[in-house]
Amino acid sequence: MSRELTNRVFSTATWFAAGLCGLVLFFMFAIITWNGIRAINFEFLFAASRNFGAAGGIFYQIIGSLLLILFAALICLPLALGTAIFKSEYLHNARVQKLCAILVYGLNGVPSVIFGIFGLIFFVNVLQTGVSWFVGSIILAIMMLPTVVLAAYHAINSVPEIYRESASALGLNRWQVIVKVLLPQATSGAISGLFLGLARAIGETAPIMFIATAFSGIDIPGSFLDPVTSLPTHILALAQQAVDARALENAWGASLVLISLVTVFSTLGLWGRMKLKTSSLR
Amino acid sequence: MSASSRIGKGYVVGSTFLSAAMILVIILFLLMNSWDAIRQTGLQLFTSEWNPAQDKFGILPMICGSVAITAIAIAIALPLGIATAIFTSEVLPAGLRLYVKSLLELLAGIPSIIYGLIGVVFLSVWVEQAFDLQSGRTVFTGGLLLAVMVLPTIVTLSDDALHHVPQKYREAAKSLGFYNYEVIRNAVLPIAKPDIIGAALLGLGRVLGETMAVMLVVGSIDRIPEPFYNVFVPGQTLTSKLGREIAETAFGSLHFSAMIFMGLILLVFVLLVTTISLTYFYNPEDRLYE
Amino acid sequence: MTRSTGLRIIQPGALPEAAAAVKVNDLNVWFGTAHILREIAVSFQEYRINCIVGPSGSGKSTLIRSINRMNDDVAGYCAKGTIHVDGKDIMSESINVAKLRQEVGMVFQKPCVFPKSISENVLFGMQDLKKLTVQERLQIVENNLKLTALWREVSHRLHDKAVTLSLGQQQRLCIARTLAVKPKVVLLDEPTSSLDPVSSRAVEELMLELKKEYTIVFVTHNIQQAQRVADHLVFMCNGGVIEQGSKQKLFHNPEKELTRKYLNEEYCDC
Ligand SMILES: Nc1ncnc2c1ncn2[C@@H]1O[C@H](COP(=O)(O)OP(=O)(O)OP(=O)(O)O)[C@@H](O)[C@H]1O
Ligand SMILES: [Mg+2]
Repeated sequence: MSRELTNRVFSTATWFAAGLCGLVLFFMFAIITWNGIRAINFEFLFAASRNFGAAGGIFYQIIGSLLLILFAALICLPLALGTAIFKSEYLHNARVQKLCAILVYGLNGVPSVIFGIFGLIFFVNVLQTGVSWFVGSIILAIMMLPTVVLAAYHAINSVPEIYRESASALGLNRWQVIVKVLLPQATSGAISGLFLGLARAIGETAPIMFIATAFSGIDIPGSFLDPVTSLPTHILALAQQAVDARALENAWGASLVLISLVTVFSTLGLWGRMKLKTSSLR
Repeated sequence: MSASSRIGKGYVVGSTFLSAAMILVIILFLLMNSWDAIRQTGLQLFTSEWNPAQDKFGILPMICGSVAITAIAIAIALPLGIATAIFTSEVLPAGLRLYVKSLLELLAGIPSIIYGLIGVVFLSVWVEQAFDLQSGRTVFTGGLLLAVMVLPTIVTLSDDALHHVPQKYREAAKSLGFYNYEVIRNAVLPIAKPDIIGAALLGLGRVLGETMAVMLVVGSIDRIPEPFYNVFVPGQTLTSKLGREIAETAFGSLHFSAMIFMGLILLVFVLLVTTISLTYFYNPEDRLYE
Repeated sequence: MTRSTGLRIIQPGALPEAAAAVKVNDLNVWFGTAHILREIAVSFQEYRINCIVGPSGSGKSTLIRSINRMNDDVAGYCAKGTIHVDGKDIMSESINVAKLRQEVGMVFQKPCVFPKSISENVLFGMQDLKKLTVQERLQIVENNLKLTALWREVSHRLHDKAVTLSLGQQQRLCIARTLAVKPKVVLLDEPTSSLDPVSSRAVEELMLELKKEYTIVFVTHNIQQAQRVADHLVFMCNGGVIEQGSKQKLFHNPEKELTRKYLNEEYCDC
């Protein structure tokens, strides 16, 4: 085959692959939006579900999902900030630093179902908490820890050395330097990372389905040790009764709501990350 | 040292310790809880019959299922993903690339349960009709669905890999009279190769650990297909088995312990793959994708 | 004409017939809305070192990158006018750009070696390498490295990574890589600007050697260098050609005041 022909074939192939890829991904988007929009209306968003989800709305599922990730964020943020500060300000031994990074980022690779199993063993069975939404929040917090630590660490690291030095030169001790100079910077970075983490956490099913959620008859939990309902587990339950057209319609509606929440969080996170990048360049 | 300094240091040391110890704690708990199965069942764990009623806990069908699904998904997603990345990085105008990249990041963030829903409603029906099967919930369906799911990740990581190759190499190759595809094949791809391998391994780790989408479409039969390469029959993966069955097993029983052992095997597999993938990246810290 | 794989041996008395002249006519180039080159009309002669000088930003790189159409893929690039290489209009739609670039090779300001071994780098641009035996390949490597005066320095480590070479050696390796493709015209864009004086001299000597077989178009900022090696000189300023002609004429008898000032390294305001 002549080189020119090969070139043609190759370029056609990449166009074809890109077209196919675009088509598949567009199809995904189209299905979800099209089916979802038809299911969504005011009542759907603000009513409780009835008839095992096949009728009614998803109000408590939305509340449940938001509750789960709100507390996950509250647990995760201080832990991640502390870790990031220690890593960048106190830890100077390269070997320990490496080990620490491997351990923390190793969490990032752990399959989500493993978190669910761990929660089942440790909280539900060993600590005897029973199925509880708060346990779900803790597990989700652990799951997104690496993302948030990484973002906060980068934010602290991007604070120029001169700030630390001039703050110390004013007679501030190390901890005061951290609180007054680094923490404000690190918090904004950590929060953008937090949004990225939340975008993933809110869509996760496997970590919470054994330990934090129940399917029907649940509204707002009365205590920390009650179960909630959530969007992803709701979709799971509806998908399993795929023969019922009404149930499916509600599943698409819940999916679109879930994707919208994910998109909001990841846009906030990506936007924050981009802003941080440009400001640290200046 | 002042009091605030001491408390502050205690706080940061404590949180670092907690964060770092977490993965070890998880591994430890999985190990402790699968110990019964390891001791009592031993090598019988790696046989092909799973029947809790008779205390038979062979996890081979699940391992085979996971391997098969991962292989199918990567075999489809990798060539398609790399070719698409070549398009986005080398052909697409720079202005459009940014939009495409943001779109890909959003697509990569679609929760897996929604892929599961699409798999149940559309993909399994199509597979059933296209191959004239009794049920569309097969190993192949799972692989195909996961291929679609990791596609955005593989495309965006490979695109980054290609885009990080300095422009001068392209120019040098072009000035020697190379056609576009020769520039890519001879100059760009060899330099981007480690990063692309890293991307592939990261995708592989994802596919291996994915639960919800697989669980809904794989068919959930704990049997190694006959013959083993027949992928158009229902199967089971480590993850789908865990997702379906763990909530129904009694804590402390041998059955539970064998399930946890599967979790342990899965975790070891995935950690192995991600560790290798991190060593392939030039700068792993910059490349940690959610 | 058929060309042997090795170095062509020039028969005494017979002029080699490979090199080609380059004629640029009424060339205008825009990047987006910026008019970068204005009505350029220059000719570069065969078997000569054609030297382009001019202040930074005057469009020297843009001009020589137009000759092998390296600008084609630059966003916003638009060119009008004609460029003839060896009598062929290379601006035409029907031209095969890859083939053109095999005939018109280019060496860049900064050496750019591929992360491969030294010999692989020399052979990097060769087509149908698969048809050649190992012996033939080695022969090509040797010939081109000898041509660029690198052979003595690297013959014992041909399989080392090319990045281990010094910058000057890398630049000569890049030239060898370009020559291995057997172009007729070689474009050199400030090839010595990242080199030390000794390596620069080596590249200059090399050019003097190469002009026996190739047409050389050479961009430099260094006036002394131009004085040492140029046959034909083109002075560019602000996107236009101010003056061109033989070295003697431009250095000793320029028509324009601007040319005189620039070549005497006086302050000149383009
Ligand atoms: N890709 C591009 N897009 C827009 N403008 C460009 C581009 N490349 C070059 N230019 C502009 O064209 C003009 C000429 O650039 P060129 O690189 O040809 O100058 P030069 O004479 O080679 O300068 P130097 O001696 O510094 O290399 C400059 O004003 C430059 O800003
Ligand atoms: Mg230049």
